[in-house]
Parts: sequence; C-alpha cells; structure tokens
Amino acid sequence: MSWVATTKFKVDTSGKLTIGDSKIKYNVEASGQVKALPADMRKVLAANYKDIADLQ
Amino acid sequence: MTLGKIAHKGSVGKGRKVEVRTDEEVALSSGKKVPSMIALEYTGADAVKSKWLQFVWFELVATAPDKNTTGTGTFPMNSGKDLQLTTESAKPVWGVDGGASEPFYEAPGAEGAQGLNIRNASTSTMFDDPGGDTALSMAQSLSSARPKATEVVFTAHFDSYLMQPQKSGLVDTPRVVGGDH
Repeated sequence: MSWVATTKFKVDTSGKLTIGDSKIKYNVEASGQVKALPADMRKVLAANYKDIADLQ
Repeated sequence: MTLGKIAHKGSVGKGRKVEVRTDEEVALSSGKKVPSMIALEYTGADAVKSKWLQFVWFELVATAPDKNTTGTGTFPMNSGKDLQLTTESAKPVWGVDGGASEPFYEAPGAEGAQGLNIRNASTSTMFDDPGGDTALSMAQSLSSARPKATEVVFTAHFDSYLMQPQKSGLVDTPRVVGGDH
C-alpha cells in the first residue's frame, strides 16, 4: 500500500516556524491486492542490504 | 492506546486482513503518549512471523511569493543510512525504512532502536509518525535560507508491504501480501 504523510509549517513574519499547524496529514491508497515486490523496490532493497535473501 | 480513524481495511487471504488507521494515539511503556500516528496492522495467521517492509522518499519545499524552493541534504534514518532528499518528484530517491542489518521496520536500527511495533500471536502492527524534530529543524533551515518563505512543507512518501513466511518444501521463504505499488 502507498501512503503519504504531509507536515505543513507556517512561517511567521519574523521568519520563525509555527508548529501549531504542523499536524501530520495522511493520505492512504491501498487496494488490498496480493502481489509480489516490484522490481524497482527490489533494486532499492538490494542497494541497501547486501546480504538479504531474494524476496519473492 | 486510542485507536485512530480507519483509512483502509482489506482482506489478504482467508482469515487474514490488513487495516490502516490514522491519527492514532500510542502510549509508550515509559508512559509518554504519542499522538497523530499511523498504524498499519495485520491480523491473522503467522502474525508472529509477519514483518513490515517499508520504502520511503522525502521532499521539503518552501513556498514564497516569488518562487518555491526545494530543500536538499539528507534525512537521518533509523538504519543509519541517511536518505537524500528528493529534489525532483518525478525522480524519487527511494530508501528503506528499516533496521541496520535487516530491512524490516521492526528490526533494530543503527543505535538499537526499533521502529515502533506490536506483534503477538494474532496481530502485527507498526506505528509511524514521519518527520518529527528532524523535519522541523530542516524546515527551519530552509526557511532561513528563503527569507520570503511563508510556508514549508515536509512530505514523506511510503510504499509498505507485509512480509509473511511461505511454505516451500521445508524452507520458509518470504512472500508479499497487501502490497499496492
């Protein structure tokens, strides 16, 4: 599933960030489909973990 | 713990389901309560052996009346492998939101800390609240470099998979369920 977390920081006139409006907002997209790990994600995995066994 | 709002609910096989909740409040063993978390929960067989594998890319953008500015630099990851901020959203720089030596979210990081999770015989749940103080600090730096900025937005994009053992002869090999890329 894919999801996105967005945090918005307002900047006041003095240049400081106000965190009052910084609550994380989530957007979730999922179909519930069962599927294999995509090839591009496998590449990311292999680039970061040399010893990982092949994932189906 | 205060359960969040259900954002997704789906079946990933007979008696197996995945649920995603947002704005969940989690009480840590220290007593501290963490609000606004997202919970990815699997319920069903093999829950104890189930693990979450999560990929991520980050972007930071300052908005000003004259133009927008994209942040650069790296975001520190629990694994110890810092992830470069993406500067062109069409070309995301993906990383693994996992441990130091294992890619799973629940695996110990470079300093021993695990991604927040609960696993038992029937459920495997991971909790996340991306950004935190690091995002605030990076947003402040970008804002300082762009004096006309009125807003800075930190966005974390995730692709999450539940990994479960699959019988293959006498060997358990991982398989993916619940993925949606």
